[in-house]
Amino acid sequence: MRKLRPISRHAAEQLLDGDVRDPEALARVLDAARAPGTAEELGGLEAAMAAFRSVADSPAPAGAPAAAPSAAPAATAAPAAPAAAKGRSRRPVFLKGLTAATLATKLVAGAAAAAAAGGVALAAVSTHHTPHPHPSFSTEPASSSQAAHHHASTSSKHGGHTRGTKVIAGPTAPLTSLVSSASASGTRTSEQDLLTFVCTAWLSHQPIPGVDENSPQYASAIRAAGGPERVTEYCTQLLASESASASSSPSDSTSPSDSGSQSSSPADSTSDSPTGYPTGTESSHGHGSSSSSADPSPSSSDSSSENTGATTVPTVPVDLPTDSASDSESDAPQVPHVAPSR
Amino acid sequence: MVIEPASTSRIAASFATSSRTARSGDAATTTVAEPATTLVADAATGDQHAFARLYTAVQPRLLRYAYGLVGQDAEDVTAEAWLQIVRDLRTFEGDDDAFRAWSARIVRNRALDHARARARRPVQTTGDDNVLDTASPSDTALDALDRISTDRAVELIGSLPTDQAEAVLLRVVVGLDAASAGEVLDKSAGAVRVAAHRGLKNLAKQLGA
Repeated sequence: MRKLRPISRHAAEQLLDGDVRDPEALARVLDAARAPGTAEELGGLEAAMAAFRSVADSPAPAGAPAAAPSAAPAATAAPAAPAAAKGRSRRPVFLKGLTAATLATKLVAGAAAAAAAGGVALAAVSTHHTPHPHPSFSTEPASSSQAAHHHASTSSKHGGHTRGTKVIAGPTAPLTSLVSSASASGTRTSEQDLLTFVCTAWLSHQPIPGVDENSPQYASAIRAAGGPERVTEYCTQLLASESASASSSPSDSTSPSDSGSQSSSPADSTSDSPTGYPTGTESSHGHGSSSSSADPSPSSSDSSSENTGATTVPTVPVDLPTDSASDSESDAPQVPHVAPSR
Repeated sequence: MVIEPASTSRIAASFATSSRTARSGDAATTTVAEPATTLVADAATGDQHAFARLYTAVQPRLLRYAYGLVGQDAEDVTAEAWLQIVRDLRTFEGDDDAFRAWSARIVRNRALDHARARARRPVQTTGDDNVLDTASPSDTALDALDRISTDRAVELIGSLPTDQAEAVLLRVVVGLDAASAGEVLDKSAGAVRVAAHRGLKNLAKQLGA
């Protein structure tokens, strides 16, 4: 391969900013790195939406910019779906399936504990993993099954929300404490909490239009767990036991989870459907305008461009309330620098 | 760390695609997106639609950044980060650009937590047999450079020394300018520039080798 010429400082800045349409290798690598997101990278949408709703449905925290609960718009609002599901096999992605695998692994970890199907389940789901590219951040090759065993063997103490049939019943308190305790107390808790979170998502994802239990991440979990009912049961149990143990927590009016109505899960059909990603047509209405600043890279292929970049939305820098910014990070244990080891 | 208004401006200024307009001060009162509101402002009011779009726009960036830091744990790391983001979103004030910096910071902290936790655990193999149809980062004979995938590109960048990898990822993938990346990394903008430039040089060396 030919030698590349030395990069001047100016050229480097241009490359970093993406201002160079340079056919050279380096520019191509950088362009590839900043390519528009793919459906594979958005498999966690449902879970994130579930968490978002649970918070949005809860009273605003003191000092929050007003608004929240009552203003929480239409539960029917379609999530901006990464419509790229079709492009799924477009390229050999190693990130592909990571989201699904992780979510599924966490689900299965729990389900496996309940169903005593651990090994099989885990083996079935932990795929698509790659070695750490980054030695200093990754002290050793990770194993999702590690995490899974971990989940299975730890019992949770917080959280404490159950769900209603439609939206997560547990108000913000559970999720908040869940997260903050996770941040405060390290990874053990945080992983356990993540399981709780995933279960919450599992039990409450129906309201997300275009995304259902047939989504591949869930489907594979179900398959691995040996049946959809097991996952639901397990999650219901888990959340119920957590609400019981956390009943002292204020604002947590733990309604008994009406597990009966819970997701009569899917799986029976679909599991392999390649298009489980939310295809939801986030069409023309609303919000058509305000995303590009968050994603400057234009999406080439499909309707995801609608989400990420078709229109340029003027945004204006606003003063970031320093306390909120620091607040939110302050509970995060301040990083002992994992020093680069080279 | 604190992301200061000044850096917020710089973030915005660094994007060719973002231009300025007046920002509606009372974004909280609008549930329908106005040109003057941002996704993050809408999401902060509980707008699910806006949140979904925000996630869609930002998550791929965060995931790639996380991958450069922790490899296969990227998914876990970003999932944890989103829990925190969701929790704190209502108290976040800033535009979409500032949101990226803020969320990248959260991802970074989660990644470091993860790395520490990993260090305490016994090694265990994953049993993965399809550890990739792609080559390892060090195998940089980019014969198929024309069709280099995003994944491979991120992997390559992630194979740089950490400080360089982070600087490049934050600049290129997350889309921050040097100052904002510096805020994320607790470094000066100058230090980020230096690291990013070194990273590019190393990358170029690998590619040209």
